[in-house]
Amino acid sequence: MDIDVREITKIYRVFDKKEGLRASALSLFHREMREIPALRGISFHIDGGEIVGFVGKNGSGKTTTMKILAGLLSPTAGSVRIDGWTPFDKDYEFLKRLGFITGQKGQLRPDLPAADSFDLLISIYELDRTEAEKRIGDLAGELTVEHVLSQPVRLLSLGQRMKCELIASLLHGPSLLLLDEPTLGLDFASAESIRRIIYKEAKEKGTTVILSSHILDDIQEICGRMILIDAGRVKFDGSLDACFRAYAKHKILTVRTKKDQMELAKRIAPDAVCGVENNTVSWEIPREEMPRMVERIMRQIGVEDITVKEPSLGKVIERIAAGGNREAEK
Amino acid sequence: MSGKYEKYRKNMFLALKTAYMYRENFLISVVMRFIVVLLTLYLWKAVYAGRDALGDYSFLEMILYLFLANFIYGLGNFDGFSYELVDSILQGKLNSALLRPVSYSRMAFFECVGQKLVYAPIDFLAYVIPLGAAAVYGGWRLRMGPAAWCMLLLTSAGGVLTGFLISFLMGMIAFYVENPRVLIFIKGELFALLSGSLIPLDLFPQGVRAFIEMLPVKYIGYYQSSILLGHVRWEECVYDLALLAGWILLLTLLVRRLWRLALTKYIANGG
Repeated sequence: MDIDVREITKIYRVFDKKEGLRASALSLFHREMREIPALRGISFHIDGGEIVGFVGKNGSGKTTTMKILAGLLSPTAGSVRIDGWTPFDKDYEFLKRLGFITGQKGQLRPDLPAADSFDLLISIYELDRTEAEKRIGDLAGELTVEHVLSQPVRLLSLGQRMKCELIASLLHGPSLLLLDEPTLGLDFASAESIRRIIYKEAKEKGTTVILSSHILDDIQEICGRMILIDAGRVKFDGSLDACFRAYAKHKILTVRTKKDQMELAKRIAPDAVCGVENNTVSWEIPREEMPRMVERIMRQIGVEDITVKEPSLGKVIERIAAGGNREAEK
Repeated sequence: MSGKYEKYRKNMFLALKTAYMYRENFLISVVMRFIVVLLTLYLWKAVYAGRDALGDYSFLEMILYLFLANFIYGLGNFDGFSYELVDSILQGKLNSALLRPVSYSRMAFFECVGQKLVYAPIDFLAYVIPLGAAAVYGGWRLRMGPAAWCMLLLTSAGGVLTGFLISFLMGMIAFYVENPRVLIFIKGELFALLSGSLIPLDLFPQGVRAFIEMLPVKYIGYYQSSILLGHVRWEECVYDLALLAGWILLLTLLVRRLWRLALTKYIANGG
């Protein structure tokens, strides 16, 4: 599904609660309302089949944007069109093509087994029962939750519950999948299996996926494009490669050497050393100087192991959010 | 049930299934219902001590009236749903329901009906047993023809729907007011009185009674008991049915229109 978002703003009006009993009593007669701008003119376009990551700090506007895309909220200004639909109209044909997972609020009934909720969803989305049951079986098998489908959802572990939520959201084969912190609080293996299924679905079925996450592994592993939202504005929109090229002028070079050569290693570009641990030394080296630096190190010390890495995505995001200029353009 | 209504039927049965998941809750509720029946009997026995009638109601008629009125009021009282809707709105739990290609109000109605189906048979038994006892030992005879049965069923169904629509509107106040629970509580107390499930509306002063009789709430208890006791004037039946239909139409339109408007106020709290 093509998504076209133009200059959306969202302003929440909240009651300003002051401290103290007197202020509480006075608030019965007079309340001061405060406007909180959650989004301040966000625009982007996403083509059908793209997997896009939304990143940003808490309160930056990611979830509000997701909720507007899902039609839960209406923007204060601006427009959102998804394949011609305005999400807030809640057209049933649009909703049939939408899947939305949030890490905190699920759609499964907590008191009943997940299988009962799946059964209801089959009727709601008017799915072919045989095909839907096969799909549930396949997804449950891949996520290794077949054995818990008949247990009440409230008795499941967080990982099992999230996997069941994922099945519920994928059951009707949505063309647009919105995922808000789907791996929040999950162990590595559960998070990995959820990422694997999302990626597979997107690639096999051409599903448009928007993934909002603080867990940058989620973004790095499956998203081809990243939109960084900060204080209600888009601070970066592009591929991860472009992001690193634009904002990370340096790469991290790490070398393991013999103990007696550590002092010698540290004396090679001492100003660029960014870490020393046991028998390893790390340097932050400008991208264009990396080949020469590697050659110099190989020539001067005995190298047991050498790695060249991009800086962590988290650091790059922090830099962009802090208003950092594109380093490559300096 | 056709495919179109399959989802509603499923939702209704899931509500039933959910209630049966909690065995202890269910058993305690059943016992409490029989205790309430006994308490009602003893309370009104005390009220009737030393007198033959209260208004036009003998002790036996009063008991019959109250049992049926309470049974219908139990079916048409959806305060629990109002509180649930308030929580859903305030805590953002409405999100998943709003993302489904299905009418929220219809799904909610069938879910409520499912919850009612859990206890309705128990309530029915709890009230029918004394009715049977009254028939056997009190010499009371049920005199209801087919027309009266039809009226009883139609007005009961209408009363239940009316109760749901009013509770839906009450719950929707949460879109505008931070904590409307106290309003729902007051509405519940007021409706218990105005529905005639505490005392028959005939015992109210004439002016007050004339006003209450214009309201839809009389169809959630009072009206059905009046049919049972033969107090309904059949020449007014058409008017009564038209009034009920008018209220249902008005409330349905209000729910639909206000729901669309209110959703613009929804802030979908939480992640």
